[in-house]
Order: sequence, then C-alpha cells, then structure tokens
Amino acid sequence: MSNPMRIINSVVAISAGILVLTGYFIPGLHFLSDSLLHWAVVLAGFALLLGVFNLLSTHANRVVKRTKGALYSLVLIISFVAALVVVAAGAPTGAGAMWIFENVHLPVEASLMAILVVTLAYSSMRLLRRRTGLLPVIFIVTAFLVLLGTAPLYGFGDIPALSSLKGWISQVPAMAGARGILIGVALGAIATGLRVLIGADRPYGS
Amino acid sequence: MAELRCPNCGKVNPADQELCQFCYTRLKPTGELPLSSSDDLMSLLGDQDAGEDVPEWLRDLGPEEKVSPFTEDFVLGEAGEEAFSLDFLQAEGEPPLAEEEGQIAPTPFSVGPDEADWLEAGSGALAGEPPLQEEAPESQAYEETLDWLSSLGEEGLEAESAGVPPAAEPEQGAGEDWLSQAQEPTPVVDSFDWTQPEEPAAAPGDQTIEEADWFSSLEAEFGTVGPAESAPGADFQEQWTGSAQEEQPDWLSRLGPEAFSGTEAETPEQPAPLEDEKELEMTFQPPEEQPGAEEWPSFAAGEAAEDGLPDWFDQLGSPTAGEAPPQAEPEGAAASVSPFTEGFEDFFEGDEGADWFASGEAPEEQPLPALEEDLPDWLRDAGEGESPFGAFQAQDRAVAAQQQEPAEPAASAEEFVPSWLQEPEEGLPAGEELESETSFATFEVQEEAVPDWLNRLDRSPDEIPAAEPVPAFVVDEELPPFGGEELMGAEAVSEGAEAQFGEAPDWLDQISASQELAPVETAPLEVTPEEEDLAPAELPGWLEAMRPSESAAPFRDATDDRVESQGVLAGMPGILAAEYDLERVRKPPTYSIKLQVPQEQQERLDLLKGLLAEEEQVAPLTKPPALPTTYILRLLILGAFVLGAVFAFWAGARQTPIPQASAVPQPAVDLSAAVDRLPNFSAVLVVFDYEPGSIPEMETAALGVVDQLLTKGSVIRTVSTNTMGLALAKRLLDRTMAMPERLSQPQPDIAHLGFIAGGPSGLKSFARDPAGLMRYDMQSTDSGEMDAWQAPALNPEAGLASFALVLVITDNGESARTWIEQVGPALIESQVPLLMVVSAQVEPLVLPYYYTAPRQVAGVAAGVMGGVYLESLSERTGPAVMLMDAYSLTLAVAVVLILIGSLVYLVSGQLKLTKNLRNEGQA
Repeated sequence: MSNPMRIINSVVAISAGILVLTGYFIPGLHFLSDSLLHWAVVLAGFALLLGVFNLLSTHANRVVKRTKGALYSLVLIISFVAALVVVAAGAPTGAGAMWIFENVHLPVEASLMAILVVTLAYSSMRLLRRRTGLLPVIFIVTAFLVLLGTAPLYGFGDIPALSSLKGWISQVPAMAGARGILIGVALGAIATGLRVLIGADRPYGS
Repeated sequence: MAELRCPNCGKVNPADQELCQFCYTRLKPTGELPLSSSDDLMSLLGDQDAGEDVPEWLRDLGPEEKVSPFTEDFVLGEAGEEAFSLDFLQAEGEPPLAEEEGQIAPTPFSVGPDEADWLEAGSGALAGEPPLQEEAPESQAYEETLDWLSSLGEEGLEAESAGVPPAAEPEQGAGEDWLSQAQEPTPVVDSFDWTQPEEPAAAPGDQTIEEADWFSSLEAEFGTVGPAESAPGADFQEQWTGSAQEEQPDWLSRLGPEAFSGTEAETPEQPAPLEDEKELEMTFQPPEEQPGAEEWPSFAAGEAAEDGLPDWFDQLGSPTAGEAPPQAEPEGAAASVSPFTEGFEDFFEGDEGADWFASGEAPEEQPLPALEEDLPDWLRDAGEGESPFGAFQAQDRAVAAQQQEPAEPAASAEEFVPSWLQEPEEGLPAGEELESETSFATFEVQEEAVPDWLNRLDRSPDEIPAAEPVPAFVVDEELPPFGGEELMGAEAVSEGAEAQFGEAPDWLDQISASQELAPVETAPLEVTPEEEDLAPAELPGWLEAMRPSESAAPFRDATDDRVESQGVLAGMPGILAAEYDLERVRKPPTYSIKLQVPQEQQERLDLLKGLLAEEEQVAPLTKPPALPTTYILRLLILGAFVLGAVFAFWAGARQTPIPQASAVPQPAVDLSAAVDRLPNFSAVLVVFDYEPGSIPEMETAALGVVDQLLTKGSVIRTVSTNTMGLALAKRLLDRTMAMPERLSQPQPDIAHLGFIAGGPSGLKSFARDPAGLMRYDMQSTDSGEMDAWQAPALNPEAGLASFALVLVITDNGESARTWIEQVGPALIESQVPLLMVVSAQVEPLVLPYYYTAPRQVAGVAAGVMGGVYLESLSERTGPAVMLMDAYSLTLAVAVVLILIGSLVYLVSGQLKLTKNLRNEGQA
C-alpha cells in the first residue's frame, strides 16, 4: 500500500462498485449509478478504440521488423485501412461497408462454421478410440439422440419417440446442467464482485 | 707471625694457610718471583735450560711471538703477582695517604712489624735524623737498590733531606728499583688497616739503611708521608726476596734471576751472571757514558744473553745493536727520558717539593700524558699529584716496548716521551738538570719501534676518540695469559685490548684460535621403559582408504646435520643456511585430493552422466506421411456432408415433412404468439448479437419473425452488442424487405442505434436510459432524421417501456444471458416481452429463463428448426422450410459418420490394445 496509485485505483473501483450496487437497492441513487454506467459505456468504447490502435501498432511493428508472419500483419493493416476508408467515406451500413461484409466477412466466417461441422464429426468418431468407457458412450448416444430428434429424418419424417426423447434431454438433463452453469456463473459473479468491492481482487492493476 | 690476615676480607688466618679460610684469597705468594722485568722473564723462557721447568703454556708463549705489554703483565701475574697487580690497581682508586701514622696496609707488600723499624728509620731520615743502621740486610744488592732509590730522592729533593747520600749513578738492580718504586706509591694502604702491624710481610728481609734514607728524604719533602707511601717499594722487594721465595717452584726460582737481571743481586741464592748485570747497567746509562757508540747498550744485547736466549728474544734487544746510538742533544734531557724518571716525576708532580726530581726534560706546554686521558676519572684524580701509577704503568710498558724494539735516535724518542715529562721544571738549574739526566738511564726509542698502544698513549687528547674505553689497566689485570677471549669473551678483548693497544698480537690470536672448543655434550634422549613398550601407531584399513593420497607436501627436515664448509662458521654443524629458508619460501605445490572410489559407485556415476548427456540430445522428429489417414478421413467427412446437402438439393422434392403445429415446441409457439399479439406500428427493439458465421442459421431462424414485424408495420430500432451488429441488422432487414411479398408494402421505420459498448454495464445502462445512451440512427445521413427516438411510437423518457417488444437474435449464450439478466428486469418491470431467437447450441442456456415464473423470456426459437416452426405456425414457406431436407439429410449423414467412425475406431482401438498386450506378454 505504499504506492499511492494503488490506493487511488482501489478507492475508485470500490466506490464505483458500491454506488452501482446501492443503486439496485436504493431508488434515489439511480442517477448516480446510471451516470457511472454511462461512463462505463464511454470508457468501453474508448477502450475499443485504443484496442484498434494497439492492434495496428503491433502489426505495424511486426511489418517494420519483418518478423515471422509479417505478411499477414501487412494484410491486416491493409484491410483495416481499406475498411476504415470505405466506412468513413459512406456510412456504417453503406454500400461499400455492406459489400465488404457480404463478400469478405460473411463467407469467411461461414466457412469456419462449415469446417467446424467436419471437425466435430471427426472428433466424435475418434472419441471411442481415445476413451472407451461409459461416459464416452453416453456422450455418443446422447449426440445420436439429439441429432436424430432435432429434425425429422430425411425420408422418414418426425419420429415422435426421438422428438420426445430429444425434448426430455433438452429440458431435463440439459436444462439442469445449464441451470447449474448459470447458478455457478451467478455465484461466481457475486464472489468476484465482492472481492472487487473489498479490494481483495484488483483486476484494474496492483 | 702466628696469624695471617687476609688482604681481601681482613680476617685472621693461621700462619701456615696459603689461602684464606673465608674467601679463599691467597695469603702468601705462590712463590718468589724476583722478576723485575717481563723481558727478563722472556729471556728465561727462551732459555733451553729453563725450558723443562717452564710450563708448557709458558714455554709455547715465548719463542713464538714477542711478548705484548699486557701479556707481559699476565706473566708476572701468573708468577704470583696477581695480588700485587690488584692491590696496585686498588691503590689507584683509594686515597693515597693514610692520615694516621703507623698504619700499615695488610697487603702482601705491606710492611710488617719488622718493617716498622724501617719505616721509623725512614721517618727519622725524613725528619733529619741520621739513618739507622739496620742489621742483617738480606743482601748487598738489595741495599744498593735502596741506596739508588735514596739517591733519587736526594737528587729530587735537592738535598733537602740531609743524610741521604745521592746516588751518582745507578747501580745494579736499578731496574728492580724502578719497578719497586712503581709499586711504591700505591696508596692501597688506605684501604687496609695500617694500625695492625701484626700482619708480617711475606719477605722477612729487613729494611736497609739506604731504604730508610730514601724514604726519609721523601718524608722530608712531603712532611706527612705515611708509611704506606714509602712502604711499597720495600714491600715489593720483600715480596720477592723474602722467605716466600722458598715456596715458589723450582722452575720459577730459576726463572727469577734470569728474568729480572736487576734483582739477581738481591737474591744471593741465585746470583745473576756478571755480564748481564753490566749490560743491564749499561742500558740505563746515558749514551755518552756507554762504552760503544755504535752499539746500543741494551741489556739484552750481551753475548751471554744472546747465547742463552732464543732468537725472538734477541730481536727484542738487537735492533739497537746495529743502530747508531742516540746522539746527545742540547735538549737531550727531553729526548733521553727514562721511564723511571717519568714515573717519579709523576709521583711528585703535584707537589712543589718535587723540584729535586724535576730534571727539566718535559716541555712546559705539553699537556697531560695520553695515558691519563685514557684513565677513568677516579683513577686520574688519584694519580694527579699523588699517584704516579698511571704514568708509571705506562712507563713500564714503554720500557718493555723499548726492550722489544729498542731505540731509535734520540730525536725520535722525543715523541715517545710524554710531554708532561718533557716539560722542564721551572726553577731547576741547568746543572741540576744534567745531574738528573746522568742519574737515570735514558732511552732513545725509535718511533717505529713504539707499539701502537704506546703511540696511542702518546697522542694528544684531541687525537684520542672520546669514546675509547678505559685503558689497559683492566686488561692487564684481568686478562689471563692465554685464551683471554675464552674467559672474558672475545668482545671484551676486542673492546678492551684493541682499544688500548690497537690490536692484539698475532701470536695471541693464534693461541686463541688454536684453542679447541670443548665439545658440547648433549644429553641423550631418555626413553622410559613404558615408552619402549609402545608400538608405533597404525591407521586402520578403512581410515587408510579414506586418506587422501599425495595430499601432503614433502617436508624437509629442519634439523639438517650438514657441516658448514666455508666462512667463519666453517666446521660447525647445524648451521641454518640462508638459502634454506629461501627454498621454503616458494609457493607450496597444490596436490589434488583423490579419493578411492569403489567400482560400484563409479558405475553409478557413469550411468548418471549418460542420462544427463541423453537429456541434452534432441530426439529426431518422425516425418509424418504425406497423406495421413486423418486428413483423408476429414476429407471423406466433408465430402459426405457436401454430398448429403447436394443430394438434398439434387433430389428436389421435399423429402422431409413439415412438422405439425402440435409438434412445435412451446417456446417457439409463445414467441410466435407474442409477435402475433404485437400491435401494428408499435416500436420494436431488435437486437442483432450473432456472428456473421452464424448468419445462415440465425437468419433462417429470425427471418420469419422479422417478416412478421415488418408485416405489422412495426417501428424497428436495431441495436447490437457486436460491432458487426449494424451490418447484420441491415443485411437481415434488407433481405426480409427484399422478399417478393414485401415489395408492395411501405418501407418500415427502421433505425440502427448502433453498437452498445461495455458488455453487461452497457446493457444495464441501455436498460436504464436507452434514449440517452443510443440516441441517433447510425445509417441516417439526414441530420433531421438522425434522432432515432423521434418516432411517435417511441418515448425517450419512457425508455425501454416505449418498445412493445424486444427481440434478441443471438448465437451466443453469454450475450443471451446478459440481455436476460441486465435488460430483462427492466422489460419485466415495463411488461415488455423479451423474445429470443437463438442458435440451436444456445437453446439449452436460454430455455431455463423461459421456464421461469414470471418468464424472463417470453418465447424462444432455436436454430433452423425454430424457423421452420415459426414458418409452420405462420403457414408460409420461408427459407427454413426450404432448407429442412438438406438440413435433415446432413444431420443423418453426420449421425451415420459418427456412428460408423465410432465403431471403426472402437474396434481398431481394441485390436491395437489387444496387440500391444500380446506383444507385452510375449516380451
């Protein structure tokens, strides 16, 4: 605690957390918490902008130093500059911006999702080779049932037993697991919030 | 004489004792040695006849070298005059005169009761009374000696003492006389009890009338001369002519007459040869009175002496034989100074009545003799005016030196004569000077013949270093005849003798060097019987094995018994050489400690070294095959999916039946119902939070809902937490509006609020004040239409409550959860339904919010099938229904591939496992 900046950071973080938290319980403090939340949005947008510049500087350094992968960095920089110029010249939803989105951005990401399908299928096939036990078998069986129950079978139509089984799996075991995850996330968020409020955890720097 | 009193301690001893019972001081002389001169003794030493009786050390002494002055004294002392010398020296430090008459020093030279008469006669003579005629003189020669002394006194006193006939010329025994007188003025009497005359003199001889006269003249001169002052001369004669002579050994008895030519007449038992006497007499005669002018009448130059004396002794006297006799000069008195006159003059120097002795030889301006300068203060004080012994002793040495290397011309002898003696006495008539000159034998000594030590005496005080030690008295008395270095130490000899005489004679050095050192007996190491039983220590085997080999540097034993081969220490063992230490100074060698490592430990050490070496080696990478099976398999999987999709599109006709409304899941039903309940031209907030890669799925699922919204003329405000949300929204809306049935309908009010930054905080802020945070349309270029909240269906102050419906299209469960958790409460509070169109993978995470009370999510449509359900519920054919065959067939392919692949891999895995187990079992 000898560093004054640590004290200042802790005071600001804890104070902001407490004010926003009290805004949930005290209606009169909404304006204060709302102001802080607005500041957070502005700061987050500015942080995004800083991130963009950081990305550009990093790749620019790689291009200047001609390190490994400098060509990709150069492509990134060129793409960034081109998109920035195109969007700045029109509008975020202008023709140029949408052309770039429709012809560059969207196919790339769609292709990645298609590769994911192949990868998941291949991994499922090798699962039983890596692990031969009950859980892998259950995993594979569950996958079979969900896949078969998600959509009507080609040429056969809807199989009510599979649809019901798939509904049961989705609403009971899957939802149970999802709730557990959500509850765990909620508890983790509370604990993290408390640690930040009491200063035990300082993600803003030591 | 029944008792003898010890001269040292003063205690009475029986008469027959030779040594004092109390202090072991010799009471009687060891023998009579009537040696008047050391040269006489030396002459006897050279005599072949006497050589047998002479001790060996003494016989070896004579022929080799000349007798040094101090060695001469040692000879005398060895012969029994040691006490004499001591007393003589003691007298130097004592007051010269006894205050009370009748006190006689109890020394061997003191006058006994028999001599009292002699003293009395002397006293009477001094007092002017006629001398008493004594009966029974010891010898005629002795009487003549005393007469000679008396004559000296008369001449010196200028006939003040009447009745004492002056001695016109020296008689026989003059040499002894001067020697006696040399001892005569010894004031030692003061240290002894003169009032006890019971101590008889060793010599029983009576005092002669001449002696008494002589003394009477002295007493007449000084008036208060005590008996001690006058006694020593006679005492000395008694010492060597008395009955004690009988006690001396024969050899010494035979030595006496020859050694002291002047005293041979005093001992009637051993008369000296007449020729020697004459020669000796001639020695003391003036040169002009000597028979031959060319031959110096040395007492040692006689033929008889030459026959009987060795060569070395001849060299002592012969130098004068071939030389011209000293010429008498006008100042011949100063040149021909007799050492005896010097002694006497010094004796009476401080007294005015000594004019009779003053012969005018000494120059007036001559300072004190060098000898007196060398004397200590106490001795000098004693000698000045009262004690002549200092000068007399020097004169004695001078005589010896003269006899050893006699005379030079008279002119050179002037330097030898002390200046104080050369100084003429004032008021002395010239005629008297001549008389005095003729009354003494004179010497003319060559300067070269004078030894160094004598030259030192003759030097002026300025020439003598102030730091020179006390002169020869100490050395003469204390040095033994031989090997003085051994007894006194070489340092004493070097400092005492060399300081006085320049350097010791060579023969003495040879004697000292030839003396064999007594071997030092070292005590043998005593070994006790217990130690003999002890066995030598032995290290045990295990300890010997641990002992480092060659760990100790070689040590050179310091106890080296080598014998010095050169230098002054030659012949001496055990000398620590300088180079020895230099050898040891070198840097010690470094020896490594080598432990004995067993073979087993060595093998383990090698193994460890091998392991460490292998770790550093890089294992070669196995080159993968050009076409791995996985790659082929992946291509096959991709081909299967592509083939299935293509087959669905190639088949044309819908092979998959559309699900019935009853088969639509409830969340999709509730979502469709919520849209259906939406009033026309109401404000709807659509959130586009999915990625472009999910566009096929998400647009297929959401396109039906958006189409319904557009159908109802809803005011659509789009927002996104994704940077690409604006483009996604535009793309979806444009795609919806591009549908053929929408071409005839008016353009909906659509505004893109943009990107909400900050994640949950941004969403929370947006839920609190959406108009304040996202006020403007991002795609509007008209400034008047930029405010997205200017629509009639929207109320900026109402916030989210202005919207009739919030539709979230997302393929991200986190984003869906954030919207539900951060914005959901505000929507619930405003009773605004939250609908969610999500991907099939997010459905499990959203459904829990659907199955809550109250429902946080009013309706959910998930994936392609959610679009199919919505299209099925709206009874229209949309893109979802069109894709359902391909989608269904692809799912079937995927299931088949996973099933087949799982089975193949399962079997292959089991086979490989079995094979490995078999191989391991065989191994």
